[in-house]
Amino acid sequence: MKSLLVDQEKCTGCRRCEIFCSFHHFRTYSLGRTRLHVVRDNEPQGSEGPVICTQCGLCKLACPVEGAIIRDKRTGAVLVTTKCDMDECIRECVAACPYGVIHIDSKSKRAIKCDFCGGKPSCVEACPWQVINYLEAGTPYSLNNKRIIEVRSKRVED
Amino acid sequence: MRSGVRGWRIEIILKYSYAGKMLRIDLTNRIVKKEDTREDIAKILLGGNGYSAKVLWEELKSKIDPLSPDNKILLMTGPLTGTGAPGSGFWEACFKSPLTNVWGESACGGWWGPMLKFAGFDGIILEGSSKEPVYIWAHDGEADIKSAEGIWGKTVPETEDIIRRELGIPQARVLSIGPAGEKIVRFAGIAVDYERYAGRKGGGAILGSKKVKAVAVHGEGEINIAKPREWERALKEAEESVKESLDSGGGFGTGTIGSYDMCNEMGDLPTKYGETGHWDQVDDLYENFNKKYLIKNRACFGCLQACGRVSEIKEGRFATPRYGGPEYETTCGFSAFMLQKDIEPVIKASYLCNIYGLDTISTSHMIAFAMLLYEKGLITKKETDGLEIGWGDPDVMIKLIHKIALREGFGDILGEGVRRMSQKIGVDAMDLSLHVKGLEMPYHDPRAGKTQAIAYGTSNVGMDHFHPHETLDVECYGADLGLMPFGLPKPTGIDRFAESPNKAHIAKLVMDYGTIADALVICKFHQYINLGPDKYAKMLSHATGWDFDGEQLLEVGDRIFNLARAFNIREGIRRKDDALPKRIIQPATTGSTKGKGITNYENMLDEFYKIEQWNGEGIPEPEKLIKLRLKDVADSMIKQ
Repeated sequence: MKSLLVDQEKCTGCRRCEIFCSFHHFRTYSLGRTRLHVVRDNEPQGSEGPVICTQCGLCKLACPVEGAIIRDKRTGAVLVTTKCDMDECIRECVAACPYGVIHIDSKSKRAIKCDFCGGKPSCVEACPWQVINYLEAGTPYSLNNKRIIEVRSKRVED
Repeated sequence: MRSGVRGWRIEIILKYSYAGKMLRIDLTNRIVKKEDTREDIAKILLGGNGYSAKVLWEELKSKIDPLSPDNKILLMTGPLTGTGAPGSGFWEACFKSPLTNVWGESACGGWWGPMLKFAGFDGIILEGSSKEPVYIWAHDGEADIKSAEGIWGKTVPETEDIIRRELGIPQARVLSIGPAGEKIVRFAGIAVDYERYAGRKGGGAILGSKKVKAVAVHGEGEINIAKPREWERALKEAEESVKESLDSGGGFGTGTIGSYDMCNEMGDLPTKYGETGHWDQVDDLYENFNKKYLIKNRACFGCLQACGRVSEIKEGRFATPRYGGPEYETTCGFSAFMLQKDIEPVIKASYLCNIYGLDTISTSHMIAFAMLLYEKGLITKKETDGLEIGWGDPDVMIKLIHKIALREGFGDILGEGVRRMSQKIGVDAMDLSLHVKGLEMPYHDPRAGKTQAIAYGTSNVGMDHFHPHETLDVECYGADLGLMPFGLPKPTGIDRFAESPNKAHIAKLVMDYGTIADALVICKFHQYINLGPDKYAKMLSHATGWDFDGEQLLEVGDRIFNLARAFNIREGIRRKDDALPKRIIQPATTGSTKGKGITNYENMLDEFYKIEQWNGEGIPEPEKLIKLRLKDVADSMIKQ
């Protein structure tokens, strides 16, 4: 099973992941219709990095509509289906999300969230800096983690 | 597909890749108006400088004072801004410049431009002048004028923070001026996102004269693409050539400061106020910066290169908080140009200019000019508030930046720019000053590549390395810019010191190409890496649904360049104003350009005029303008 992993230290804040996400799903460029968000600390000294869905499934647990949010067995992604209906709920999914990466799309009037683009995430392709990686959980993650630990411990030493 | 931006019921003419609406703000009467983006202009002049040139040509009376309410400033995006195209995070400011009294344009990256388009506007036209300090808040297809009473006088980062807090929208992007713009320093810049600058030609002074402290934007609108499938293919193709180029060491993966050593080697590092193009005291400057002070790279919206360099100096005399660090021009200006050896003062100076809202090029230029005048005895301690202004003194440099930004004492006359200052001091100072049309020289040396001499002389904005383009990149550094299919000779085969008529042809081609970037409003650094007019044309065609090829796109460049030229002719610009300053045509004294001056400039200029179809005085011939579909401009040119 693969998962999206973020090496925030490499992020340059170009926001390509966001707009490519919106284009992949809606054929339009909009920062309001993306499924991940680049957060930039509003300080000149601040850092930046993408906040992505971890596919934890809390939205699925919270959703009162049967079959509106399901887990894709193949990719492991938690998906919003066409059964999603705003008249049947009070947006429990949005409230349940710990990262703020599920929200109601104003045009389609449905919840939208990361679906791994069916196994070929466009944010990963869009990122020139290898900040977002689509990796098998396990060994590669620890490799990824090692770099982060190195960078951060160096910072502590400084 | 329906309207381009969410929430509008009215029909929008330009549906694809444009937002379709412009914002016109009359500051005198506090009237906010929305108007359609004009298709007749967009189709032949695109956006950015092209659209602005037409608007300012039609709406500005000639010979107005740039700092009066009669002047207008356009903050523009273009058809590719905010799309996924490489380098699509740009915006462009166009106005009549308070430094040169002619056409002024300045391009800038960041996130502000795309956000303006997502807010539903292709551009903002600011006219008139407010009595009280104000800022503009444009969001989701609407706009308000708000009071800026409490932020007047604040620095750029303070302004941004306060406005975002006041609006309660942390994602809002803010364009602002610092104290330098408020005090009408003639080369004050316009900042966005803390550290990105439309720095040159005094846009900040224009906003200051209009009492506009900031323009905040936010929106979640959409930018639609006419032919998504073809667009995606064209985009991929463009991206691949960018990546290929970056992998082979092209582009600005090292930041522009990374070209410092190379410029020095080529004699392209203006030193001691342009006396020469090489200095042997700064060999380890770039290495030092990289090793000790660089924190990370930062990219603008949609960028593949990330040339931004965040830097920090932890302690010492020049301690500087973490902030966008110096790029090449800033570094050269505050080091070799004024014979200052260390990187620390450069980082500090860059930071101070950024928070005060000063153009780093003109600021460092003015300080170096003061050092030269002091050496020659043309100014003394009497004029300089008792300061001893020796070459390369970092403490004096820092003091002068404060003085210029606030226009205190000696800083007041420095803040007037090099032309006005030298005119006040006298003919000796005028002979030493480096400017064309009143714009201070930036830090590329035309002796190192002679096409640059033509570009400096004939650029509509004055002595600028970026509008239309840094042409010496071709002959000096061997970049072909993807222009070989359009008649560019093989760059490595060009003798960079030759002053043949052929140089005018090269200059013309590269300049037209450079102009396009400012009309598409896209980062020019992506032009350095072989994208070429064809790839841009493809992206433009698929995004808008219009039909453009590379040749036609170059013609758009030609059209815009000549329209801005006509604007300048109306302001009184003639051949004499295309002359180069004396000091820069004299032979350089050190480095690889040693003994090489510029001797044949007038002949190259003759050839350039011939290619442009300009008459002996530099006025575009009516036939040429008619061919470029600028009939009304042609009529006006006959009367000149």
